[in-house]
Amino acid sequence: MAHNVQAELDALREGIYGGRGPGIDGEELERRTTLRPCVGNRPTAATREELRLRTMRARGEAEAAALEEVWAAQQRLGGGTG
Amino acid sequence: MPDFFPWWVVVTHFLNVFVMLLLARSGLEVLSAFPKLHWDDDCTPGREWLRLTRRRFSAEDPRPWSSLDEEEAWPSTVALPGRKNLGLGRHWHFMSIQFWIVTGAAYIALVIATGYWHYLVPTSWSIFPEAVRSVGSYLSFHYPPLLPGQPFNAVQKLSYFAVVFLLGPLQIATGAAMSPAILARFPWYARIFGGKQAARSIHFLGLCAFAAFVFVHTVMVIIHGVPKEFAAIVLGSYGASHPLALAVGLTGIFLILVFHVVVTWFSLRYRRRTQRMLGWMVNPFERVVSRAFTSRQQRRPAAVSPYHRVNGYPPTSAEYDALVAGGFRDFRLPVGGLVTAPGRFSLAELRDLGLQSQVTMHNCIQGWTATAEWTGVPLGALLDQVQPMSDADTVALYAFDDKGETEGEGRWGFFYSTIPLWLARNPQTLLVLEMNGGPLPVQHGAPVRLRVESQLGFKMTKWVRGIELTHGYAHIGMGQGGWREDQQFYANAAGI
Repeated sequence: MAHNVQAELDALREGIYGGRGPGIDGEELERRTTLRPCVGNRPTAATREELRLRTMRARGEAEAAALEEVWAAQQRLGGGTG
Repeated sequence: MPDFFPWWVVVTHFLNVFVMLLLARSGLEVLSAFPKLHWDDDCTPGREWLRLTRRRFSAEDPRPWSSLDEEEAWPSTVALPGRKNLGLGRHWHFMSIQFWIVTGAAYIALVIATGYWHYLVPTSWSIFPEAVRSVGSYLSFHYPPLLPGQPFNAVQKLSYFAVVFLLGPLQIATGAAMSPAILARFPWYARIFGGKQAARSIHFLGLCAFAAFVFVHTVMVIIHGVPKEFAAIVLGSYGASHPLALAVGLTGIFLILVFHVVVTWFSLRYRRRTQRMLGWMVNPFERVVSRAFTSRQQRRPAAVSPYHRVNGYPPTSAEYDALVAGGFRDFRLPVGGLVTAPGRFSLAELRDLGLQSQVTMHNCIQGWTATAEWTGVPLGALLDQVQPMSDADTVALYAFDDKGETEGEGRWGFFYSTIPLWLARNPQTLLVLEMNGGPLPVQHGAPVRLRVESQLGFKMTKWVRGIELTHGYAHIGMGQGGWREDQQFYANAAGI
């Protein structure tokens, strides 16, 4: 039991930054955080709006689809989506 | 009547200009994280009395939104350092306030000790009608007469008194009324101002009052004649060399501006170094405040907010979704590290340790507040089960949420946080399982979240996945004590 618990916690600790923890610091972090938005450790152009949509998908595809329609309608009418 | 200012007035005046500009710009950075002002502590969306953003969100908004969506990126010409750097803005603010308090205390002590207070403190009610006449003189383009035997006219004396003895202390007092540690120990303190949000509003209005004073003060210097006034302000005497005073005064202003340009650039370019350098001065202050005050909140059930904001989106992993779908029946919380009896706890086993409820106010680092009833297991009870070893001094909480997936903006990695063991054993430090009488909602951190009532919200890990007792935190993540500390340069102690 003790061994399993510690192995699980080791994995969580080491997985925070994908196994690259205390080594990534200072200039390396500053270089990374000035990059475009990331998803996980993969650079991407994901915007906050896209992340919101992704979150909604996680909560329910049907609800997200309905909201996409609402947002699309808002954009057609010239309204913002936040 | 003196025709000069003592050297210490000249020095403290310059230091005041220097520090107050830092305070104002860093204060605006803090404000930009939640650019809305409320009078009540519920912060109900849409009920703010001042909104310095075009973004609108409401409790009924069909879009998912979190309080992070309310942040604004104000330019570095306005805020220090600008561009959504709340952590560094707070560091600059709390570093500057220490200098401001020291400068102010030295000034007040010398004002009293030297008898200079005679020139600042009104001793007769007649100052008010005289001040009105002084304003009338200015409005009719005449210089008002100086008070007999004094260097100032009545409206000058009254305004200097108000700024030094009323506005300055009010800013310090309302600033203290925003500290979660102070409010957790002395909830009555914020009520002096009408609540934390009222204190925050007054603090902002105080900044506006300072800005108005500085504007009028500067205009008066120009009207009275810059060379003559600079001679008194910079060299301490109206009879001093005007060219020399102008040269010294303009050089001083130039150096202040250069300093601001340099520290703004440095703060944006070298954020980790800035965090460390300022932290050297700010962190001990934060730790003392955090350690000195233990939460003793028990607000009325009626104080529960109708709407409670959330900072951050829930995890998006398939593993978490499966746990949600199963009502967290399969959830097990591993607790280990420097303990003699590690274990994995189901929600039922956590409940068996004994539940405790408390109605407390949440203090988000952004500035918003909300009140809720939280029910959970005292973390101290769980620690008693696993029996920390003697060298354990830190509790690390690992979370389900991958912030790169849920927050973006260049941030990445799984959320985690650490708190000192002594804080984990505080009576109101809970592993929460219920909120407002129902199961803990997913958006608020289900199945388990932390409550540390004397700290800011970012220390209260949501969606807790595992707990480890350690010695220090330098070996975890990037070694700063938490994901926000790693990636957003927050201070590890969060009592202010």
